[in-house]
Amino acid sequence: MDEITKVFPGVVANDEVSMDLEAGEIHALVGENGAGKTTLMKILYGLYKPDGGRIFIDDQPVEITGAKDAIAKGVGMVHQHFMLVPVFNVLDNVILGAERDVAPDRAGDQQKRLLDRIADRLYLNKNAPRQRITEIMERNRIDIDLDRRVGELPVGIQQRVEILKILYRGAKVLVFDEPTAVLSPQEIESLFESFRRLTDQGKGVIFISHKLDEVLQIADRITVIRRGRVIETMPRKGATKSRIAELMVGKPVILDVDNPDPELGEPILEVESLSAVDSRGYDVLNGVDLTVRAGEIVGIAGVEGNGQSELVYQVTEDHHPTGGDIRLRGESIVGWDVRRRREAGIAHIPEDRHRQGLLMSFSLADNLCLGRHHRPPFVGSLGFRNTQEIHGFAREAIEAYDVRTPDETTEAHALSGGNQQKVIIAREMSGDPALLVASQPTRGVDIGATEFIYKQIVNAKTDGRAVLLVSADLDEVMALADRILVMYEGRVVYETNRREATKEKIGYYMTGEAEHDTVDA
Amino acid sequence: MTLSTRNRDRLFAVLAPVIGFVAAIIILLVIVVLVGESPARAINAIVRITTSNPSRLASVLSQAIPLYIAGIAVAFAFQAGVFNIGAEGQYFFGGLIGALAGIYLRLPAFLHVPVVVIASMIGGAAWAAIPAVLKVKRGVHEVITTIMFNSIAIYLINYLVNRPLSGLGEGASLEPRTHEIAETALFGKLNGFFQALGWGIGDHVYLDYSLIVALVMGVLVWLVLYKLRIGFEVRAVGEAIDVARYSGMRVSRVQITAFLASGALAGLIGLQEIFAIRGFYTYNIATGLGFDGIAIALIGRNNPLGIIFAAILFSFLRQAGYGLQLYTSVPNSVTYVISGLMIIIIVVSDELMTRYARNLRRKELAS
Repeated sequence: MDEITKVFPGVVANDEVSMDLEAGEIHALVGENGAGKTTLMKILYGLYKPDGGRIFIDDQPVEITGAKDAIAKGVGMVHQHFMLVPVFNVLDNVILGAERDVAPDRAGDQQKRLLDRIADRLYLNKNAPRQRITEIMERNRIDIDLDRRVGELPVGIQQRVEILKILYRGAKVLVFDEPTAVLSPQEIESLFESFRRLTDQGKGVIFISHKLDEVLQIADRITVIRRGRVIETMPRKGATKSRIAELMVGKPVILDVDNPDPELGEPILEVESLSAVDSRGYDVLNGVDLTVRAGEIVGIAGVEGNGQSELVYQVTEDHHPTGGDIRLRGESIVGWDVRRRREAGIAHIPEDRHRQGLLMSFSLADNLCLGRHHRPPFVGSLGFRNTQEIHGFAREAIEAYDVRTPDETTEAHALSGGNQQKVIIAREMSGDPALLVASQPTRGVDIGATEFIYKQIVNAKTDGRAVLLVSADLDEVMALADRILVMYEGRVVYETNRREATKEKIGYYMTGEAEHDTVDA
Repeated sequence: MTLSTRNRDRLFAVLAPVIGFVAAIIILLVIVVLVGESPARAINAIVRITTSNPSRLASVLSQAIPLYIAGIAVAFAFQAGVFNIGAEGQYFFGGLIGALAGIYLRLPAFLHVPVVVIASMIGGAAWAAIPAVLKVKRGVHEVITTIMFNSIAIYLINYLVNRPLSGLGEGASLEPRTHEIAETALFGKLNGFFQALGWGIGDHVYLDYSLIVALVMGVLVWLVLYKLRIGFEVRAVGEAIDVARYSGMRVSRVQITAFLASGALAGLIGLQEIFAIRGFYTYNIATGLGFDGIAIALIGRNNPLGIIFAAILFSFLRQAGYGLQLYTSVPNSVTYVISGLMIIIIVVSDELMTRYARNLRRKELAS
């Protein structure tokens, strides 16, 4: 890609960005949110038309007009959110959209009767595709049962189905958009194995990531982009984490938060042999016990989908447990509705801010008073909203939490992810909560904002609040939590503290190896 | 940039309906040509019946009254994310209850008129109550239940006005109908007031008390939605139910409230016809107004101010259709095609412009 420029009205998303990918190379693309990584990749994948610059594949200038065209020219992408049909089996998912790419034998077509020929066209013969997929799997040492329904497979395997899809279409360049975000350490390892096998076959891999450790581990070259420009492309040799982080944000960041030892107070949250089932009736929590005291951060680590979300909802929302008890300051809150829980001092940073955290087309002022919008001072006499109070409060919160916005009347969707998250944190912290439940607090947030959020969470602790932190980012849990609990299949399987915690040990329990001894990969 | 962001957003908000209207008129003229009629004559016919004199103009306004009420009724539920497709049934039933209060209660006029208004609202809300409770408690989708309740209302009313409540024999007509509504409950006209203001409208036009009711309800809806806490919760539930739940709003309660309020407003759609025009309740009460309300709410962006515009636009088109029928060889039904097209064009251009404005805004913030 040579001097790619993409201008959106008012902003240059890519400013003469050049990067190249050699056959057999893993090239990492790093940069903060909004730096222009995604735009660049969307141009490569044909979803955006560049305003300037050219793309060469095998030294030939090409124009990529859309996803289908990109695939035809050998560019494939594994999106952050998988593009799979859960109720289809693996085989159907792989061939979906390319059903006729592997033609069945048509040699005898001329001799066949017309009706048979029509039948051939209507009937989807899956034998040839199956054979080809099996070959691809053998070459890449991927082992998946093609007849399993995709929805039943673990995330790591689903990702491999995505890779299979791209390989099936004959891609030479594979783009991975934050592929490790949803994986456990062990799954990440095997993803990297796959990377190496791909490059051994002469394919090129573009690896987009936030996680600098991973980038340093796997990439051959690293390109840092910031504000739409390539800051530097460097070989892995000699690259360091702090150097890359510095290039990404333009100033050195200290991600090692100043995190003092807890001054423990009384128990605030007590969860006692809590069990729950999901909407389909499957067990999601199987007897969870935990206590969070005032002045400490308890971190829950675990691969997503092992009951962490349900635990959060049991504490913050009115989900009904099938057994056990949840107590706030010694009083059972089972059966309380959300409003009552909030008024009792539970604040909640939700895992999905778009779905739960913000009213996107409402003003920041409206968003900042959510949860306390129903009582004075935000509501005056006769149920009228007190606009002055709401706006005054919003201006203070925006100032105090360094939300970058023109003013408090700006709509939430106009803000960047990091600033949106700051709005949520401002709102949840300003209610003076006894317990803060923070679920994936820095997901999709750039480094600058992440640092700020870390500080806020540590502040909550030093202010004497109890903090329950749930995160899929192990580094985050290890940096912030005083005690770390690992959840696996709805149970707490391991507990450690910040001083003694090691990644290997936690990873071991996260994947359930401790239970089964064998990993299902 | 010369325009401030806020003014630009406002401009965009106005632009979509204007584009829709202009496009609809152009398409109308194309159809007129295809039918073999002269566009000049068609325009002449439309102008003649809608704006040629104060009375014609007042007629457009008069017809817009029930359409406006229908629009705000549907919009109130939409604001909470509730699809009340049953305004039609709620209007039939609310109108009947209002009419019964008008027929059988004996009250002085200054009380009787407000009482029939309130009775109509209670009737409408009652008819919305079962779908509302089914939705919130049992998760039955309101589109299904309200549509079924429309049919139930039609046949129930057919039975009631034919049998127990029949006032057949009163008056000259043979249509199934109730007894006459008491003198004290009838809606007077405001024409004298407008004439005194110097607007030379004829006495035959119906600008009656229902105009006041519509305006009062419009102001109330606006106040509730944008100034009261409950309105904030209604809008929040409509915007993102998960966020509403997360922030401690009692979502079910909010939805039931909005559903009942919507039904209560829908109960008022028939006021003009029942209390000003006919003076009794009949099975032949105008149909389709509840459904028009859906389109009007959509065009008016569920906003009581925008719906004023949308209701007048609808009324204008309806009248234009009569004009074409009367003075040209273009069939009246063309206007239904046109209003359909217009809705699609407005909704699409509105969506496009909202996205465009949103992107602009984001770019401005990013740079």
